[in-house]
Amino acid sequence: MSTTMSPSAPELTSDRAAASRSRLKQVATNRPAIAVLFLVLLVGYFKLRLPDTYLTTENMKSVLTQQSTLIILALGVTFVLVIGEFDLSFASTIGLAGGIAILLMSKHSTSPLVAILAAIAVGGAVGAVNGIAVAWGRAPAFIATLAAGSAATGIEQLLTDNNTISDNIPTSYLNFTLQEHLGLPWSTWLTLLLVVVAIFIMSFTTFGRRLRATGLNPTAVSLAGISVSLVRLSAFVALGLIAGLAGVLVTSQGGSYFPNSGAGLLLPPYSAVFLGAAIVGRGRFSPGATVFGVAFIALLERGLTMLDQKAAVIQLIEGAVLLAAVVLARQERKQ
Amino acid sequence: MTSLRAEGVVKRYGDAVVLDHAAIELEGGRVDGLIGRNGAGKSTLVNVLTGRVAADAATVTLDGQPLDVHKPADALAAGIVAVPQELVMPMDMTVTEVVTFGAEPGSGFVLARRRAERGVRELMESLGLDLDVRARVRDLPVSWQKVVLLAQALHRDARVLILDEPTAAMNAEDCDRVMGVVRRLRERGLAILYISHRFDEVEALCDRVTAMADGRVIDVMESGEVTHDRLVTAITGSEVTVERPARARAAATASGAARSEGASLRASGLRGARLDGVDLEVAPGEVVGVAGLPGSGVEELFQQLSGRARPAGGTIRVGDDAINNAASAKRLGVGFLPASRAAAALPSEPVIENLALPALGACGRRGFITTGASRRRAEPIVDRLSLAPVADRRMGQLSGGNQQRVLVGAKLLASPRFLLLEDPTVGVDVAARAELHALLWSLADEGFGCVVGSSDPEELLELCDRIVVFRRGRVVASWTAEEATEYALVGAMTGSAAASAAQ
Repeated sequence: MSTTMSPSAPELTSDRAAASRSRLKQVATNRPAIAVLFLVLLVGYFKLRLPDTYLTTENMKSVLTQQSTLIILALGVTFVLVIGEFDLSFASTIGLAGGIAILLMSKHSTSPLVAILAAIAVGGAVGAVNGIAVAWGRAPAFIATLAAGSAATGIEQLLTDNNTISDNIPTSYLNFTLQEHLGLPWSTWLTLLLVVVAIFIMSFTTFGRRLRATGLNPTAVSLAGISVSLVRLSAFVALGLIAGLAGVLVTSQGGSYFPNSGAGLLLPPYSAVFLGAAIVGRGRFSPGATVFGVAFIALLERGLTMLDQKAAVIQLIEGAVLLAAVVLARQERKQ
Repeated sequence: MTSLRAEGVVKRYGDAVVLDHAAIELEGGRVDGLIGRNGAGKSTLVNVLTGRVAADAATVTLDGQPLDVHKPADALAAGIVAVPQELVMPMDMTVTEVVTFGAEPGSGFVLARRRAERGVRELMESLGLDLDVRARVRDLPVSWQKVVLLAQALHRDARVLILDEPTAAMNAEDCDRVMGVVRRLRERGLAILYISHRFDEVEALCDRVTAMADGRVIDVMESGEVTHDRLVTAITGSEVTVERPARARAAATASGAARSEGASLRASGLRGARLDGVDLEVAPGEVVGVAGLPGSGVEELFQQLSGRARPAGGTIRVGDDAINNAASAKRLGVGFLPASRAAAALPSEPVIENLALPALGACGRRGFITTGASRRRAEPIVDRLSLAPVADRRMGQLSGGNQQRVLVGAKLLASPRFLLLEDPTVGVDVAARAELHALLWSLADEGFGCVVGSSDPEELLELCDRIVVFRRGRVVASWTAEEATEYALVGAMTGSAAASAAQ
């Protein structure tokens, strides 16, 4: 669907048909509008099926708060996908960062704020290892991040002896994701802030433009005298920092550390990002598209759960939706 | 007024001297042409000036001040910008984003988008161009994409602009647009180095031309001295000594009767992205050379003849059967060896596996395949091409010449009637090249039809019975080996005025 000038209409009689077709085309290419339409249809369907319970402030707030982890992880993954790489280590990073935060408070009586900053720093460090291995070590991201993730899990198990830790955790740490201020917990406000920051960075800063250009054509970036390796490093570090924060959210919500807490968090962010890119971005990744992907999956999942669908059925439906969206986006781009 | 001088530029790679005291002089408000064969050292010289290659020795001055260029950022800071031959840019970005990339207006972190758009619009207007600055560069024609890169150079405060074959792969109209912009840049006082293989453009545009060969400057033509003769001589060398034909042409004519028996490969009216109505016929037993610069349409011709790309118009037939896709090309016995050997070979696998690859069906039985079976099947080919000593080595360990022979052998195993070879001797040493030529001649004597594409006139004159010259998607000349001369061939390929007048 190119937007280049179309050749002049062949016949005057077909002018009106052509005009309405072009209007249709205009609507079809207006991606944000389509995204809103999809969400309205989805919410409308569940509103009809669950008139009293689905579209309520409480329910929507609960979706938002519960899916905070997914939202921030999907944003981080977007950064790495935008530069044309990917990361399989962040689920392990979540476990390591969360474990360290809990250990610091439980065994060393550190203040929650320091523990949270430490967890985020650990995440950033794992991201830096990934970035250095990929950007300067020229390792394929697939295997480099898999290896870094495996090492991170190893460290996590060494530190925690694979035991659940739940004593001596300050309540203020738990309140981070629990106690509401102006209607939402701090963690959820932070998530919303990160959404705004991510969209701003990608669209309105030189850094965001460098990220995009690196994914599109690294040679063009280096010809502009910019270090492609630094850009790559920064994207991996961004995801690492976010994975560290996600570790905090997971342990704070759970009220304890339990081994392997990041498992199961690897694939959902990718699903959300690809779904968003397929529907909103015509296959291109962007934070805005990602937010749509997360919203769609979260609202769908909540609705199906409230309709008492089995978890297996929910998984099946989500998989089918994602596959269809990605294939359709590919077909569309081919035209 | 800007002036850039580079003198005594020396660059060695091991024993090979790529630049031997090369020199270039550029001045603001002037377009300097740089010509020479592939491998003459033009690109290396440019890479030295832009800091991408460190010279072993060089004296570079900008406006009389000594200039040290160690890395690309140094060159950019000094205002030396090179626009590469390929369209290196993020195609999904908008015109504004590409033009301002790396030097965006704003606070350094937050972008000033409106200001950027306004600036780019003004820049485009000052170049006399009417272009939507919000359009995605992907949706623009190639000449506009090139113009966007020129504007990008200007936005980066270029004072010295180096253009590496800016019009390669463009049709006449696109060329005119790009050349028009280059003239405007000259008016603005930029010093421009214009590298091109197209002499018609060089004659029309350049105020002064430097010719290079073997890493040395062999001729400098001041304005008014640039003539077709001097340009072609700079490429072909002063003494025209072509030794040929090595092929026993008597034998070739003797088998003329046998030749007419088989069906010909016949293309008529081929059209495509770069082809503009091309007719070509290859008879069995004939070696036909297809000459053309990159972008002249030769690449697309090979893609279409081999069934890998569908022509936008026209037909390709062997006898009465049409070639529509790769499968029908294979069925009709058309084998294709692409220019990039890497694309056709499995470098980490043994030679024997590479030989068997195109004919796996013939090597195995009911889908099962054993090394023994493929070995037996490949035996005649291995003998024929004397590949026995290397048969068990890995493909990647072989020299370029041997790799090419293995690939030819692999095609033979699929028993073709026609072989299409794209630049078959790139990166192959002289001895191996002669061997490959001898192999192709003996195949031709047996009734194979060969099509050889190359931008190297010497090779085509040596190898082919007939040479067809492409320029901008059309056949502009066709000679038998006896009629063709290197002078005429280069003239026709590069499109200099004298050659086209001779048509």
